[in-house]
Amino acid sequence: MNTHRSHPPRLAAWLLRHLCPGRNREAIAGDLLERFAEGRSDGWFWRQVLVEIVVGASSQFRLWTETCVAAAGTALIWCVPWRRIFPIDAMSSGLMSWGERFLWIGAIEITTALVVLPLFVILFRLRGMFSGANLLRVFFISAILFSVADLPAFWWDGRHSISPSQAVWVVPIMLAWIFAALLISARVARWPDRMRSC
Amino acid sequence: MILLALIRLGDDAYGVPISKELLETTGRDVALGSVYAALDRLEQKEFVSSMLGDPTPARGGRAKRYFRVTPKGLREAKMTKKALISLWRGIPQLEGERG
Repeated sequence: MNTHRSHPPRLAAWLLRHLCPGRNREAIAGDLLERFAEGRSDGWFWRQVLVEIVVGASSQFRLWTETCVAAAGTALIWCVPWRRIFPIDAMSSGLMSWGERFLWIGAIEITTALVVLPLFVILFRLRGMFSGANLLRVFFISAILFSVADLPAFWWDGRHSISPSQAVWVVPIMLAWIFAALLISARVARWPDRMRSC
Repeated sequence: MILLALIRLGDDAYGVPISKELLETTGRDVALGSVYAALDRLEQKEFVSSMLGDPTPARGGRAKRYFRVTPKGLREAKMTKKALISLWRGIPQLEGERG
């Protein structure tokens, strides 16, 4: 038996180089070569590479679930016809008193947090951390973060109307803020569990 | 199991010896990808830490990733042992058995 082989199946090596997650790629490739040189078969090498591709992809998905939820939430919020549901034009035109305006802003933020709540239910189920306390926490955090962004927007919008050229940078900023608020909410919700495990 | 394998291996714990240790002690040939996935999860929980070694020609110039159990991981292993022993006790079907 040849115990000093150093050339594993070329296609499997190529797949390992290109489809495995970067973090462990070098260490796993080295480990596989070391064991292959000890006399493991081509079939063994193929099995290891295929397992690594599947396991690597699923661990990448676990790492990116929060980002996927934040992206889906941003799209969802953007699709809601807010102007039809809430008197946004009246709120930003200065016709409304600040007291009324605050009440409507509160209603909008609570509705926004409720719209994204099902996505957090899915995230917490996937992470095995589903609980009423976590949902309540993420609901309040996201509502507060959305308010932080919307209050200046309503104040600013009430004094100046947005021109199409301003919309070019205002819209991406709003989208980025919604995305960041959802990502922050998902991460902050995990803190008490992490502290408990320390 | 992986935590115990790391404790047994000491300073020489990287992918190959870990998978060999698992094979020798459990009889299961665990894929290296699964070993690294478990080690990543343990590292996220701060039960283990890792560092890259120097690249070696025998591995095609690729570095080894060495793992070590942290004090927190050691505490967790002790707690798990305690919990398993308490669960094991008082089960008539398992009493009197010898490995």
